[in-house]
Amino acid sequence: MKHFFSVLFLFFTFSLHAFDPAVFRNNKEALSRQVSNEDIERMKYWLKQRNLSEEQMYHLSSNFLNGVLSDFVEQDTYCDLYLPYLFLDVLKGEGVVTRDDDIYQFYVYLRHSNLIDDLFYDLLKKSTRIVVNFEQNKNRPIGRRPLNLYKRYSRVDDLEKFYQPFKSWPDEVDSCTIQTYLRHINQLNLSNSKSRNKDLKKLNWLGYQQGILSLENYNRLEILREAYITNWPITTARYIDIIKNAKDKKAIVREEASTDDFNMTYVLRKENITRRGKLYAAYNSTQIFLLSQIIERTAKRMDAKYVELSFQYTDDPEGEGEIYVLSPMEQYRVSINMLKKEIAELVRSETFRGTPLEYADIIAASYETGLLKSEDIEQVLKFEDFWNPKVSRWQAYRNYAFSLAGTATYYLPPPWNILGAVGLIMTQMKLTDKPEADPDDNWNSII
Amino acid sequence: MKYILIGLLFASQVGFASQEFRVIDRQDHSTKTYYKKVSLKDLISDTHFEGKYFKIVHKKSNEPISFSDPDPQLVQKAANTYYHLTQAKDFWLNNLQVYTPESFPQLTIRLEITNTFSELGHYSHDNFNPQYNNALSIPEGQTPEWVPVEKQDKWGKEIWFRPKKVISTKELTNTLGPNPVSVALKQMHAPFINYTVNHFTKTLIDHLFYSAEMTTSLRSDFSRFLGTIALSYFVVESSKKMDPLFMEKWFYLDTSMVPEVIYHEYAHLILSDHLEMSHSTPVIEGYADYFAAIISEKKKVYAKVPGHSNANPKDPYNDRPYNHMDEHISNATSDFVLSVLWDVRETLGKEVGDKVIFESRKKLNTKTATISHHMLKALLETCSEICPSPRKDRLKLYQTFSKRGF
Repeated sequence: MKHFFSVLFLFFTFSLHAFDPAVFRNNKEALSRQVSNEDIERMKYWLKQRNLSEEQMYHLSSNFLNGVLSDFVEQDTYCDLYLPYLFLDVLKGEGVVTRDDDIYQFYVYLRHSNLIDDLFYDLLKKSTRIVVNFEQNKNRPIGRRPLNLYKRYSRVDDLEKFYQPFKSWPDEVDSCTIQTYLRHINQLNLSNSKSRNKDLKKLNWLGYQQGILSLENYNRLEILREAYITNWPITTARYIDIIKNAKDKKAIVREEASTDDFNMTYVLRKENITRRGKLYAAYNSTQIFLLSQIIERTAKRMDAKYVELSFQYTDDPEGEGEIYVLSPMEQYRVSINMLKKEIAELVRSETFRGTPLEYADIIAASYETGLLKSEDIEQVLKFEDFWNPKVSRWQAYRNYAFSLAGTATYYLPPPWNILGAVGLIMTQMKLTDKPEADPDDNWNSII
Repeated sequence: MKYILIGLLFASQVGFASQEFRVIDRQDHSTKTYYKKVSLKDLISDTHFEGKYFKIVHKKSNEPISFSDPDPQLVQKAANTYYHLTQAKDFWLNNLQVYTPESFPQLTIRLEITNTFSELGHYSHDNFNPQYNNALSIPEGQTPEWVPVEKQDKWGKEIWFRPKKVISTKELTNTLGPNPVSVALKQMHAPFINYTVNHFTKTLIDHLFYSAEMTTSLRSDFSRFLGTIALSYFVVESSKKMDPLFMEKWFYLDTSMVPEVIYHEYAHLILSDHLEMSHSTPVIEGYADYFAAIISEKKKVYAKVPGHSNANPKDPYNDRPYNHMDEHISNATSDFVLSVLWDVRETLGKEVGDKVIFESRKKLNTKTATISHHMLKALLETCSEICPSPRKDRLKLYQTFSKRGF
């Protein structure tokens, strides 16, 4: 086994390209939402069975992965199923993985040792499951005839044309199974995944019955249908695009490990989508770059050595005028106000076309490009409070209670109404947090 | 011969520290004072208050005060001043790693001096505006060449401690700002008037539309509401005259007996490489207050010293928001700048905060430095240069300053 890795290492070392494979290493996720402690225990047991220490495994896996990924990112297409096929072939061939299911332990190891991140782990796991199922179920007998076979949501009549993309099955180099499948199901023109799924089941059955699909292809299409690929937040192509063109591109020194779990907070708890997952799902590398540039410009404005407001009273640029030099806090407030304005401009731009932007997405993008470090996130997130101050639930309840009690005092007979009002005002003064100083009260500041 | 040599060697090690003096110090974790007996370090005389770093003199004299001076209070003041100046020097050297004190020549410390400082002649005339209850640090200088030879003078950096003088606080009431009761009542006044007017409006509507159900007449309701408003104005206005209730009858401050004043004046000398001691401004005084506060390690600075000072202490934790009048020279002795600098320390941590504040002096000058512009800019820029996480720490500072109303 060691021999295998040495050979592989040499092979891939010589085929190294300009791309730095270290960028695949996880330095953006402070914790894993994909790998549980039980998974880690199982992986450790698996390693023990193979008489490999974690250190040995790390060294070997790191070299193996570097070689594979350097080669992969240079390809023209990034097929989701390419890597699982390659991993299974190589690892099984050399006995690292004896059963198909063992490969998941290898993935757990890669994630646990931060050689990959949650997003890539999830992609590898899901695409490997498809590859393994393809192999294990290629001769699975056809299922029962679906109910209401001819009652469908879509209007697909020409099955020959419908299954044309799978006449010859994609080879994962020039054409990709997942991308072809996504284009294929788009022909249904159905946005609802439930109705799409029902229709596909019926059409696949008919396709096989009419001899358009072989049993193997029918089973493959059924496996793809059951994998709900349209629900995948990202594909390998999107992942590689961001990793290759955006991740850490603005970092002066790449951060070794993340220390802030902002990226791993759930934004869509039901779908288990994290802040970083949402960023990858919603934006491409260009958009992520544009988002992080907003923060970059804000930081430059805040750090500017000198900021002035210039008034030109006449048409003559050299004529009478006035210059007002901004104080550091005026500069800070101007920078944040300009940040807000730039977000609005970006939303209106051609690249985003009105897609509403969350401030947290901008932070996530800046963190992804390495412009922000983990330690900066907490402070930069507070900018939003500047134009969108948050009222806690307790504050909301308290304000409502005071408003209600204030109205109630009107109905008390004198002198209790006056006494009640005084008591209420005093309680309010005691309980209400001291309001933050308002810059508008500062006569020495114009902004 | 051998014993003499050993004796000399021993004497050179301990200096002239064998005599003990009573000095004032504050208790740990408290501003309460107590007297303790101490030996003075680095003395170069066994009869006078003259050391390697400090020489304590009386008024305009250039001779150090004798240990056996007939005035025991003067001896105690000299001992106290010498002791606390040494404490301050050691703190700068050992805790802040600032080695400026080592480069100073022997400093002259004047006690009981009432003369005002003159840049042209060292001292103004004895009868010109005698000064009491304060202290000041003066820059080195010399008389111009056109001054007659017999009046020529040259001096180094000095600290002057004025004598104590008991004065009536009635003379001070106009300069102290609003009293706390007045402030609290004023805060309550606006919502109260608002409530009363709203209540009257509701009662008026009731009288107009449901007059049959009203048990009181409109006139009596009107008088009651008007009376309530008048009463509230009366209470607020009279509270403004309550200052004497919150003040002691007399004020006095013997600066040479208050440890923090000594630390403050010494800080001026250390900071004077950039913050020249030409005049008092809120920034320069705030910086000196800050270093006095960290040397004293007390929650309140310049707290009372029974028999020597009944001045109100300064509060580093005062979170009062910024007011443009804080820039005014008349507020040079307020604790606003001290509290802002203390916020910087709390934000960045002791070690980094102290370093940033000390280094920021290089970007300031006494003549033009304002709080809201130059001081904040100096602190932010210094943080960019020396904070361990410059971006994060600067953002934290911005938020700290924002909370203070800048």
